[in-house]
Amino acid sequence: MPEDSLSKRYGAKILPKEEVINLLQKIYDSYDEIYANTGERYEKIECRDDLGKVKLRNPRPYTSAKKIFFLPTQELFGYRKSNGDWEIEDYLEKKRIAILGMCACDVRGLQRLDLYFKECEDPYYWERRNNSFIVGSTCLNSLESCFCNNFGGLSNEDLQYDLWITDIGRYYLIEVGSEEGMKFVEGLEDASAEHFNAKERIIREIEAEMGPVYSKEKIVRAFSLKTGDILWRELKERCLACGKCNFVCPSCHCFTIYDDISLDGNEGKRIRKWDSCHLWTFAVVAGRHNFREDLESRVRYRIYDKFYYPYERYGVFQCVGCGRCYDVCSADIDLREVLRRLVE
Amino acid sequence: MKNSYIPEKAKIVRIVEETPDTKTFIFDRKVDSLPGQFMELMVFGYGEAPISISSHPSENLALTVRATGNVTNALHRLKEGDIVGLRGPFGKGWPLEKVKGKNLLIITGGIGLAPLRPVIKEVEKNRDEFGKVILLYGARTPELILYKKELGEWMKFIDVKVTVDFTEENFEEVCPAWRGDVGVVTTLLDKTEIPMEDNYAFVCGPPIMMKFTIKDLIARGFSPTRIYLSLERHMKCGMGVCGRCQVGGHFVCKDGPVFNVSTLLTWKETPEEIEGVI
Repeated sequence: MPEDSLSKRYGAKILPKEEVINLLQKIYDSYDEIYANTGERYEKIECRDDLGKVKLRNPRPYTSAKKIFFLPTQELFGYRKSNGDWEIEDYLEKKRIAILGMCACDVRGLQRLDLYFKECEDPYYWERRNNSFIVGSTCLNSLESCFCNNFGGLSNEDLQYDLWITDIGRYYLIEVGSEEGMKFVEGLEDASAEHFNAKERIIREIEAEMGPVYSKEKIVRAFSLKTGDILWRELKERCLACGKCNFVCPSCHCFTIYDDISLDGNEGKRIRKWDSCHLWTFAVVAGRHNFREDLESRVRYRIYDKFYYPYERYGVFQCVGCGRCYDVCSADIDLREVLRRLVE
Repeated sequence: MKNSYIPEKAKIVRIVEETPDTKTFIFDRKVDSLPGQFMELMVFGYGEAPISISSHPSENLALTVRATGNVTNALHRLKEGDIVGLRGPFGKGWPLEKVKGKNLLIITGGIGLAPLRPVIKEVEKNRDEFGKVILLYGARTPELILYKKELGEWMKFIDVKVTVDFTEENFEEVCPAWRGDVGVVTTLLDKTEIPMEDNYAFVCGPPIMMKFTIKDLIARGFSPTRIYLSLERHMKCGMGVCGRCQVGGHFVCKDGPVFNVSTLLTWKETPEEIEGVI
């Protein structure tokens, strides 16, 4: 990320509120698949009239935008027997995707997910992710479980987006983050320092509502010393190993690969499906040896893989503080509590 | 963008029965690989499994496979001329460059000999480039010893010691003709003269075997920086995305499967997760 933020490079505009629907329609017409934050989730918008569902000021939805690029079930390729040989058909599809109203935590989560999919050139991810059009929006209120203030907060300074919309009262402040984004805001009035001040004030106020902030250094240091902490045994006692936290997490990337085969065995599909490191089968190898038989090691692993390991490998935390894992957890395991215990 | 999820079709040209549950499959092509790397082998209509390469890059690809799961059992039912799918090679191999001009101690157990076969073949091809090379190999019973014919060939250019660790009461019955060493593979260390200077060790075998072998080597004064081992995990994608093989934040499929023991010891995991090292 360059020193000057994206909006400084591409400028920012203001838009009277009633005109925003025109902007959304223009985007709708330019992309193959449109998803929008409808408050509950990132929902696929199937017709123009549904654009009214887009929420540009809501807190984050219950599920993340991960599913749009990294499909929960992705058919990779199919194969079929013919004349003693096998024919393979690749199911790879190229799609131009736009997402409207993404929260800062979800854009950040997506950038974290990118890091894993850059480990190899994963075409099923990148053919959707490349050329995707991201319209971010600043949350106007936070949820009880939000703690993104630890990982970059509501600011879009470290994020890559095409447009970024903030509700500043009578107008929307529209920051432009790319050439592609410029195309949609031509002719609009330029924003002034006053409009940015309004945005900064909103962000300050919302972040002040969230809990304490721990420094990166403190978190890393705590994790480097505490693989044997009693906390992990306590979490093992509480965790039900259901894996819901993995599925709602914007940066959990694990999947399994299996073949779905016809009854006669002459046809099949290679499929990848989201997987969870909390499940007992996760680290089983041939001969039934299980490298993570103990739930304690699985619970600890997920949390280390949000904070310590990605920091070692990429220099960032994979956790973006969206708090979804706490919201869905039947055992009330709260990462804020985990951080507090480890750091303090 | 290359789609590395799509396998390439390959024909099985020869099948060698190694033991009652293990066969070596030789394919119709060479693969540009490094000793220690692995392939994803697909049986159409069943699925895919990661298998380490047991051939030298200069010869046709060979994979030695024990029938333990769904895919490997299906593979064992295939015949010469049948088609399978291959992806790879994946991962990083044994650090042969470091070993050039040095002594090498290879300690293996069971099917763990397979990923070291290309190393031994490399030694055979360039014998002058290596110092003293010792292979210590442990199998459960004489029947389960891999590459029986080749072991004899290898004795011509390296030191080979084989032991069986079947110590039940009915030993005579199970191993009627065995006159060789008996006991776990580490017992061979006492019976072998191991140069401590300029020596590297490559270890591969079941977790428990690697754990005790590494403990033993370190107790004998072997520096962990000189010991390498090959970790086993169920690598599903082979490319560092699916996360199934992650240990201590490292992808066994991409950063390994061969790792330096001193590096493993710095990982923030408990020992059981790193295959019981120490």
